[in-house]
Amino acid sequence: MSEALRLQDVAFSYPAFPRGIGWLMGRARPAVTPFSGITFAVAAGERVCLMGSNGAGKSTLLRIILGYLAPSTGTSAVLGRDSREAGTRRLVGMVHPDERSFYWRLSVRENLAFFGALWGLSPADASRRAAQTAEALELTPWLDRPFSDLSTGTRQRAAIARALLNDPPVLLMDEPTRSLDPPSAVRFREWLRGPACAGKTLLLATHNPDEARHVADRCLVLGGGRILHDGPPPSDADLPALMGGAP
Amino acid sequence: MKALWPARAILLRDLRIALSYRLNALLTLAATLFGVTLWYFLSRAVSPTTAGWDRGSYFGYLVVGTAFLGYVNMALHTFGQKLKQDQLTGTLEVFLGAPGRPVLLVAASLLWDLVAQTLQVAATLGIALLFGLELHVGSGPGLVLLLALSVVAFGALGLAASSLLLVFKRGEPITPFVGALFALLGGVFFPPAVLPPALAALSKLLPLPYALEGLRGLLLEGWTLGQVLPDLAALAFFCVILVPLALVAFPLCLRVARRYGLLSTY
Repeated sequence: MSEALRLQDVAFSYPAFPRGIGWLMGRARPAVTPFSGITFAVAAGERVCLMGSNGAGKSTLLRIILGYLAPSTGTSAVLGRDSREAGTRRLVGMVHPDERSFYWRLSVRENLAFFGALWGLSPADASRRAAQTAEALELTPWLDRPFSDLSTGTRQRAAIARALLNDPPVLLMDEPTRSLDPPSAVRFREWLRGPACAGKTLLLATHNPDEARHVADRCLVLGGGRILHDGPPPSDADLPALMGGAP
Repeated sequence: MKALWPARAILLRDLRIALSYRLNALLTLAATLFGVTLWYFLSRAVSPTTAGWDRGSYFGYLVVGTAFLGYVNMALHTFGQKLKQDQLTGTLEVFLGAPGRPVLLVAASLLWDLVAQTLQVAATLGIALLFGLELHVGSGPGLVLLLALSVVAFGALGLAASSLLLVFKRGEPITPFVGALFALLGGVFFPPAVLPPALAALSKLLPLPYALEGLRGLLLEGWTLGQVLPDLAALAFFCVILVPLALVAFPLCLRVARRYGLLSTY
């Protein structure tokens, strides 16, 4: 089976602000190194969850794969292409943790058409894909409603629809059910298992072990700056020990 | 053609958002009416020679100067406002994470404001005509060239200044400072020649006096393309300086913001 994602010896540091810059920004910040020496691969079509305590670096890792951040050392590749190449972003759909990242005055259709065009779809294709993804995610009744009218759960579905617009082979999700009530979260997981996401490689960052077991076949636990576990999603009982630290 | 799809989408996005705030458009029109009325009565109270302008009506001088200042402010402020808005709404990281060149995506954010400002200038001139403004429009190509060079020069300055917002989050004082400097030295309300010699000399280092001199000549005195060429050349010179500055400053600040993890913060 071919590799969809490969991270090889990836380290990342947020550097300290230089003294003068820190003063201008009104705050000092020491260097922060969330992780180093991260190596793993995800096969095409595999569903993997990424777990770890707050600040473990899950979101940072997703941003590196997406090419928003450049690793300090090591390489990140999507389907063999370096994440830092702008064209690689067409291969990856991202669901951000914050459903605010839409234009609230615009309708769902207008938002989807806009982001589709940004990702290189023609106006006709962007419109067609907006309708298709909306149908697959049962968003059609909300297509012409302003984004501000949507419930939190519906907004998250719109976020998945946006990630699927250009039919990318890889989907990254950063705590997509963080702000959903339990029934909406269950529905959301059903979408991930449904035809809209069929065949996609999925890497999902979550705190929720139940979600990890429902969605993923494999789980990476990040902690102490490295991967502590790479295997089946852990049980609730095993998770604290796994996240507690290295042997 | 494909390269224009994102720009078209950005223009449509901004048009739709603007149309969803209809009261804002009405209030802008009302403010334009009040502004022209103010310049009309001010020009009646001030003698043109006192104001240092002896080539026509002072009303025309003020109307053209302030209308064009709107363009300048638009070009200076739009990028910063859009970036700030996207930072606050959470769309900035998604927007700048699109596969295209970020600097071009941000530059396209100027399109709707350019259209809206042109409509406002048209409204200003229309209202001013009702107040008795006499237009003597000269070279059409000269006018188009002058406006294009001005928008590029001031837009590049605005883009370079707003780049700092990506890192420092609140760099807005820079553009109001530049806007106020332009209003003082740029020949908007009075010719720079009435200023003390040092300030008058300083005004020659700004692009605005050249743009306004050319625009007043083209709109009020019927200048030919040949007459406006010196001002076009000066504006082209500013473009040569400012466009590369913006094209270097924005990607540099974006890289710094990404390196320090500042893109999604505000």
